[in-house]
Order: sequence, then structure tokens, then C-alpha cells
Amino acid sequence: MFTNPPLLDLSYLFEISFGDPQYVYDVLSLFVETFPPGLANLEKLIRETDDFDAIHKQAHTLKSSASIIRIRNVFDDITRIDMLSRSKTGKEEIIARLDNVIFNFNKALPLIQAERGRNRPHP
Amino acid sequence: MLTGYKILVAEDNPLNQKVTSFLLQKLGAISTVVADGSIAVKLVESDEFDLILMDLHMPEMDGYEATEYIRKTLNRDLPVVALSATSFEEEKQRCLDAGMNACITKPLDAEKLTETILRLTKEKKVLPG
Repeated sequence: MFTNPPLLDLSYLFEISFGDPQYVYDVLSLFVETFPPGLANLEKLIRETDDFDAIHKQAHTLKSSASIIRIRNVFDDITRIDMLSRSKTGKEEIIARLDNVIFNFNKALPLIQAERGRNRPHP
Repeated sequence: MLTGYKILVAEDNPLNQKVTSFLLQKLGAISTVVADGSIAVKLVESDEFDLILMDLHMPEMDGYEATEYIRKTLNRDLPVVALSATSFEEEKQRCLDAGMNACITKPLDAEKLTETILRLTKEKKVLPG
């Protein structure tokens, strides 16, 4: 039976946090600060250029972040973008995959922000 | 488990820097984090590390170039472990060809990381000088 993966999977983050909410907060904060501009740059490169090398480099950077904060299908889609751009092919698929990444990221962002809020350190 | 080990981490992604340094700290190691291979090779010249965790893709000097420099120019046999975002065989082979000792995939697993560091540093200690 096929089951849809959860929209947001933070199990890896919780595993490596050793129960430290400050660390969870810090990592989620870093993700929220760095992933959106990286994704915006990836979108600009894909939609406005055919610079496959730059697309590959940006996708590769985002892939690392996506492996830690796991949003549904984002890691797989970015991995596919990375692979296609390395072989300088498949622009149509790259665009479709990008659309998926943006859609899922935007859906997951409120959940990420909520989890970040739950782990916010108290003064 | 890694108490007292001095590990150099060359990684340009801030999230990965945080994850790696925190994990090493929890394992008892002392980590120094740099964001580019060019800084890593400068530190290897001037400081003593037990092992380097080397990201492959960095802006100015990537992990392959940094490792080749450490091996051929600095003539150092310091263990270098590639931190790879993929598990492609050709990438693994390229790591080994550049002089790296092992390749582990991100995201990091504490057990695999510990086992790799202990194995490589133990091998280094038993090799004849």
C-alpha cells in the first residue's frame, strides 16, 4: 500500500540534537535564513539562464540542507535537478522539479516556523 | 568516544557546519570549522589535526584540490574523509584518486562517523613512520 511521506520530517534533526531544544532552534533558524534565498537563486538560474554549472552548484548546496530538514520530495527533486544539470540536459524536467520544490517548501514553512517557535529558548 | 580528537571540518554550508561541529562536540572531539579548502590547507600547514572532514564542493578550493595539495605539496598523510551528498561510485573513486582515505555521505550518522574516524586514526598510528 502506498503511503504519502509526511510533509515535514524532523526525525533526523531530533536524533542528532541529543534532546537539546536550543540546538533544534538554532538549526531551524539557520535553515529558514539560508534555504529561501538559495531556493530563490536556484529559481532565478533555472528560469532565466541556461547556466547548468551554476544550477548544479546551487542545487548541490540546497541538497545538503534538504537532507537535514526533510520536506516531502524536496531532497529527491533537488537531487534530480542536481543530476540533470550536471549532465546539462532535461531543462523541462528541471523546471517541473523546481515547481514541486517551491510548492512543498512553501507548504512546509509554517510547520518549520511553528517547530522553531516551540523550541525557542526562554529568557 | 572521540575525546580529545582534533578534527578540522572544511564545509561551506552553514547548516552542515552547525550539524557537524555539534555532533563532534557531543562525541567529545574538538572541531575547527572552515568554509573553504584554501583555508583548510593553511591550517594544516600550521596546526596539528588528527583528521579532516572535507566537503567536496567549496567555492575557491574544493575538497579534491585541497586534498591533492595536502598530499602532494604539503606531503602530509593526515587522514581525510570526504563528506559527500551523494553515493555515486564515480564520486567515491574520484575521492580516493585525490588521496582521500574514506567517503561518508551526508547527512552524518554518529555511529558511522565515529567508526570511520577511529579506524583511520588507528591505521595512521600503526603505520611505520
